[in-house]
Amino acid sequence: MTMKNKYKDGGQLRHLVSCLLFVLPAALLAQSTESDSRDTVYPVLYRSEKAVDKVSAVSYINGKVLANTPAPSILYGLNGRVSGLHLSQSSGEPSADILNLSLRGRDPLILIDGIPRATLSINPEQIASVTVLKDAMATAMLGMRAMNGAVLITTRKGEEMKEGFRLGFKAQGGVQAPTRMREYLNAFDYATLYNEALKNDGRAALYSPADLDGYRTGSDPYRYPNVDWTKTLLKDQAGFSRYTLDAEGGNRSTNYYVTLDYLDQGGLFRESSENAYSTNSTYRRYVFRSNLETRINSRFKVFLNLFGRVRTGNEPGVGSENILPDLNTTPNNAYPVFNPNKSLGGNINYQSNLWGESVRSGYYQTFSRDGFVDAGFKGDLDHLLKGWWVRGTVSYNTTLTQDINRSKQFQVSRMTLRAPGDTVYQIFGPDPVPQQNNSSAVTLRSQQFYAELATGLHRTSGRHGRDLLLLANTDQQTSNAELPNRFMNLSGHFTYGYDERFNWQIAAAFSGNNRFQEGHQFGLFPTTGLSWNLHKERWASSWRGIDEWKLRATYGLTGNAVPGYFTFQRGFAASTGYVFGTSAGAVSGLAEVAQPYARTWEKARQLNVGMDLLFARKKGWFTAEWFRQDNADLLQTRGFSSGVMGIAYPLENIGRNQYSGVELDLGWSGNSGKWSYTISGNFSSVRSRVDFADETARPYPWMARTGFPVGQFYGYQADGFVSSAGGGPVMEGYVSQPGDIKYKDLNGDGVINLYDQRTIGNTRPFMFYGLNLQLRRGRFYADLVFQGTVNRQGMITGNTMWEFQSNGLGQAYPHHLSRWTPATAASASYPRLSVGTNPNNHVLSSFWLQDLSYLRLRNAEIGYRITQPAFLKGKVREVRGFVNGLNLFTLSSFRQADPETPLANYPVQRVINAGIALTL
Amino acid sequence: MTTQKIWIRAGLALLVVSSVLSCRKGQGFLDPQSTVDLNESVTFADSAKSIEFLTDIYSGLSYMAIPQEVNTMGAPLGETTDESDSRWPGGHNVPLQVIGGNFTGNWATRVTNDWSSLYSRIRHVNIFLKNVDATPLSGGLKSRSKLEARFLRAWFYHILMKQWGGVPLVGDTVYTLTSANAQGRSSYEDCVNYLVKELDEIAPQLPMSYTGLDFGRVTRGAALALKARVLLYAASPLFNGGSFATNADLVKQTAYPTADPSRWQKALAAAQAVVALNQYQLEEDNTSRPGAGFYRLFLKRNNTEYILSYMRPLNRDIEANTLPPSRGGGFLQLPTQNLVDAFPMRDGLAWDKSSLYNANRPYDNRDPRFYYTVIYNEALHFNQTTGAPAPVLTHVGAPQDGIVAVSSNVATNTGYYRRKMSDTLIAGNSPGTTERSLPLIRYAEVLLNLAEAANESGNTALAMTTLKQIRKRAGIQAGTDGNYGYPAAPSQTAARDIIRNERFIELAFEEHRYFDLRRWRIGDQYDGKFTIGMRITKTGNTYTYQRINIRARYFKMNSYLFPIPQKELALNFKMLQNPGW
Repeated sequence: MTMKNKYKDGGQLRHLVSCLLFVLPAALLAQSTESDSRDTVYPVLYRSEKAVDKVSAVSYINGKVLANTPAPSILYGLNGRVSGLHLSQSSGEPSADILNLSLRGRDPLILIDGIPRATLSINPEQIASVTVLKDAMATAMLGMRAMNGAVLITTRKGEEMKEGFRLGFKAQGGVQAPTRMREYLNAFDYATLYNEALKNDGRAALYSPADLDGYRTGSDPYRYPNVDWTKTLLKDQAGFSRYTLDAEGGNRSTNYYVTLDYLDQGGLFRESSENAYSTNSTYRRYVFRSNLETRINSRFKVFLNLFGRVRTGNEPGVGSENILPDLNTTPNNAYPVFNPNKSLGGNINYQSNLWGESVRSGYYQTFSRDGFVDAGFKGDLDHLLKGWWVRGTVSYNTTLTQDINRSKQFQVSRMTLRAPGDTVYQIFGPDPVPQQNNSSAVTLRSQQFYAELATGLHRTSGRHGRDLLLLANTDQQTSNAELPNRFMNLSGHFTYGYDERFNWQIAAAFSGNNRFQEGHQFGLFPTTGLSWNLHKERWASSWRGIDEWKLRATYGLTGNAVPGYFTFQRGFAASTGYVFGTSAGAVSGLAEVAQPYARTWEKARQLNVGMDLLFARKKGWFTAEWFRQDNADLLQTRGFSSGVMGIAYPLENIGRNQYSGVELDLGWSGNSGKWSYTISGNFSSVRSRVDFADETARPYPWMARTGFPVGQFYGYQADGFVSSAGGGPVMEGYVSQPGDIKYKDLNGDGVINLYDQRTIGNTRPFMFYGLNLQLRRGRFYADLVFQGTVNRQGMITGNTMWEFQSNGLGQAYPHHLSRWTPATAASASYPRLSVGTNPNNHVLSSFWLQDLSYLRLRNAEIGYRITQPAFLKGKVREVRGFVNGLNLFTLSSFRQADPETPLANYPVQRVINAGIALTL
Repeated sequence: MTTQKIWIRAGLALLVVSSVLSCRKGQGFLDPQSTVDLNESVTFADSAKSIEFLTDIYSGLSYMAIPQEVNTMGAPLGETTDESDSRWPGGHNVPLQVIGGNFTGNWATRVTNDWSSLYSRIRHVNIFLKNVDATPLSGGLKSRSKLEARFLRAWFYHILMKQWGGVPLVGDTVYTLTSANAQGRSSYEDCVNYLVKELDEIAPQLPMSYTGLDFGRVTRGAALALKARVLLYAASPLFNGGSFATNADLVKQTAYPTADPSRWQKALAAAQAVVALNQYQLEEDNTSRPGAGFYRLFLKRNNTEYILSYMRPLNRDIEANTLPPSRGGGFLQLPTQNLVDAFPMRDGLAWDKSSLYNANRPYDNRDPRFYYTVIYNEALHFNQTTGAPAPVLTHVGAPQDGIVAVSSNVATNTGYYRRKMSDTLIAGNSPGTTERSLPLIRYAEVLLNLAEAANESGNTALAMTTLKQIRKRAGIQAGTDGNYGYPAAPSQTAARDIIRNERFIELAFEEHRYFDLRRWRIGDQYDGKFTIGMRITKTGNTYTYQRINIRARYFKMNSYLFPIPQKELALNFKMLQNPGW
């Protein structure tokens, strides 16, 4: 039994219908496609590649589409557009809306201009392209950082253009609102259910009938408060605006791209006029980039890329990350916002006040500065040796994050009515209230130094094409006081092409990391691949409808360095110590804290088989990939990890698992009358299997974890509700009440304990899909992305699901109204209520497993474009107006919170945004 | 230039550049990788660090010493007995789970954490013993610190044994990842013998006392007193042939398989050996005020009675944790009426037998220890707001501290607050601190152990003489017969009850009650019984007193010993679970 499908309404369906009604007219007006998704040359790791030479599994996205997504993180715009890559948010809070990337089920390396760095909160206009590198051949030269795939972001470099330069200005603004806020019980329902829960636990009621009446009528909001904290603290929506200036240009000797961007993202917190400062949670970002490349003689070019970013975050003094979770632990009747004497409400159990935390706790700011400098040269040494070139790059990146703490404390008071008109106030909190803080601290200093030297030969003779690339690079990252984390690679890549029919590639990296134990720091990672263009064969020339048809396969050994922090030598650290002496004097202590273990890198054997098809005069395309990745030496704790050893077992390189899956991309571009369109879809599935987890012998077969998907849920199988006191089976040692959850007693011993835990939920592969529609007619265009997931599940527990948590002080939710009672025993969808954590009901079981699959209109943009507008007398090349949106609507069976972020306190935002762009 | 030569040159150039990148001075790839200087060999090559390592093992004495939060390690298990009750309403706090018979959730977590953290301390001792001979410590310090470490190991084992019975003995072994440690539990008898042997070996070599900066280290008295406690437990009904198990192996692991009354004599002799040291005496001062010695004992760091204590910095741990809300305290461990009733009157007679008892003023003329153990209605305690002692009011409707329903969690639900060990001139929110340490073994316990062992060995007279020392110190009137309210010559059975009651009140809130009820094998007498509170109603200027039920106690066969953590059972089929689990 699960809780899904409890809420029946057609709301989402109505949204879908209205949305389609909105989209279709736009589709009819559109004429030609916005961007060509099949560019023939695209960047891959350390080089670029022509589609005809493609051997490995890569997806290429033109950077232009990223600007259609009104989100601070550029990669958010990839959601639904790339097969194999799934993105999800963990919080919607300004500046904290960090993305979780999953490429074929693993966490990919992010590179910007070939250098590993994940600076994703930048303006999308500066992105020329994104290439997703999925298989061993595509990432081979990353060596021990290749195993999880990579996302390669390339910035715009400017290009030679006949007008000399292009200047763009864009202004946009919009509103953002939570996709879905959690709802809470009102005071009367809360108190009623609380009494019921106490009764269920065999305890006396806390609220008298007079109390309940007070909550029901709301007659005395001070003694019987009923505060909707969400509405009290948070606004319905917040603003969002962004201004971008960019320029690019080039001639024969020099090309450049410059951009300046300002983003202002508002937060949802209400503020008070009593403060001279803002207490809202806001985020401001300034980004600057200048990419410049110039030729110094006929053979050499030098380039200098500068990047700067300043980010400023503001939030209430106690921190929004502390206030929002309190919504789940502050019932509507906890205390009034204000007492009659204007003091903040509170009492011994709630010695704080949420409104006070929002506006009377001062403020807290975070400043973050990033700077990148990439410099290098490219040389053509053709005169020395035909086809020889060299390239060198050095890069220095630095980040500094500083906090400014101007938080302060405040008091709350509890009013007691001694006699009518005679009230006394009991004060909680600091007395006297200390001065407002005024301090600053640097919380993160990090540097990265990267250097790369590459050389290669490119030769074609007759039908034979040869391309060689040799590369040495080092990447040193230092964070705060830690010793640097250094990677070093010597790698090579060789392509041999025959007659554009066959393409054979081989690559290898000799790759090392300094945090592994000396003598065990380097490994060799070879990969090879082959592609065959069937359409180039003579016998294929008669095929109709098929324009291009390619088969390809790659296989290689890749690594994943998770060295930890010198784990082979860790062990002892200072500890709390003790206080010897006739007069108390502390003596410091020293203890063993961890078992040393000499780690090595995780390894994978990766196989990818793919096919590309272009058909119907290149109007249609289809790509299919199948992959299998056998991972070994995965870090995990050994199975026999007895507490008798007396220290935690370290992570060891012992695990093995396998990921496999299928990716399909299908698209069609066409014209119909005055409109042109591109419709494309992608589907991905990821199946995983634990092959070795060092399980100790299990007494029962269902306890086994080997052979099941990675991240599979384990727990008890819920089996309806207990019907009479003492019934079962329930957790061992638990005295059951009617309405408690029953579990399946798998080993039949009459009690529920660890022997009755098994896989719960589905074990099917995780699947996700996207649907992209691009339409154009004359001046109108539209771009829509739908994105969805299948077989996504989550264990939703804790104080956002369970009633009266936090020692009985926590909130309760509308879904608790359908709890088990004797009268509703047949229809109840939630167990009987209890106060605090219930040792039987509140354990990991299938009861709390939720289906979090969803379908989302992730992104939409509709625009109108005028070139050389007469009303601007030819001074402006193009004017474009657009409206776009993010997370516009969602279909999901999970209703308590946003299905993408079921546990987040700051929900994912729905953004609706409009703007204008000028090109001079 | 041939193609081949150019290839070679290009390759060489690449190598040169890459080696330049990797070999700059101080930043080279293969430079020493040391992150911090600390590891096993560095630690034990340094005398100060070696001592710090031992110091850390000492910090393990914190176990169960401070009543902090109820669901952290060291939760006050006294709250699960008739000694006190919990303020919390939720059913997931460890004491509430125990008395509700709900042995999952935090209770299971606590059991698992305690198991591994105690074994972690034992491991640290073994690491120390393995290395100490190679340290640069002086010979004398080496041998003494070894003795200290071995004592501490015995201490941690004795906690394991109190909770689980026989446990795996690891000896001096420091396990590595690969060394086989899939052993089962050792028999209870082997565990007792191991501890007794260890303590017998180290006791004669340990110093009698320490001064100055070494004060607080393990003494000969501590080793002998721990031995006395271990043997007292071993002679007690639960462990002396009292296993509830049916499996023959498990019987041996949970107790001596057969009862042998002579074990009491061993316990008696061990307790007498502590007395014979002539090192300790009860802190007594009945002249400044009756019972003043008992009160000051717990505020003094260095006193004649503590044999082993958990040494603390200047603190107000107790005040902040247990005083009533009006005194800035967290009102943990609410004393029950059961405990209050256990205190005799000033004349040593039980309240329902003494002429001193006045039902309208039930707190007058009590055993002086009562006033230093319990805060009752109108008891004086320092108030930070007024800056002076003021009465604490616990009657119905009294602001802040008045008795409330069990679920309310805003004030006492028994009508009392704990005072024991608090300084009456310090509140939880006042700036003052005391120099107190927290008692782990004190002389009064040794005397009570002695009395119990003597009585069970048939020497009731010796038991009664010993008890009188405790009552004399408590400030109870000796009476004309000089018996401090005790009957002149009680039977062994009557004396047993007297000893148990005296132990209850003298050692209240020192985490003995929970384990005493278990080792006496009388826990089931409490099953389903309610603890009692006192609801005081004020009408005009008169109080009326009403006994109320607080919470029922669960006590079944499986309450006698903790469950072996399920994780250990799942790993290791040789590990047998305790009875009833």
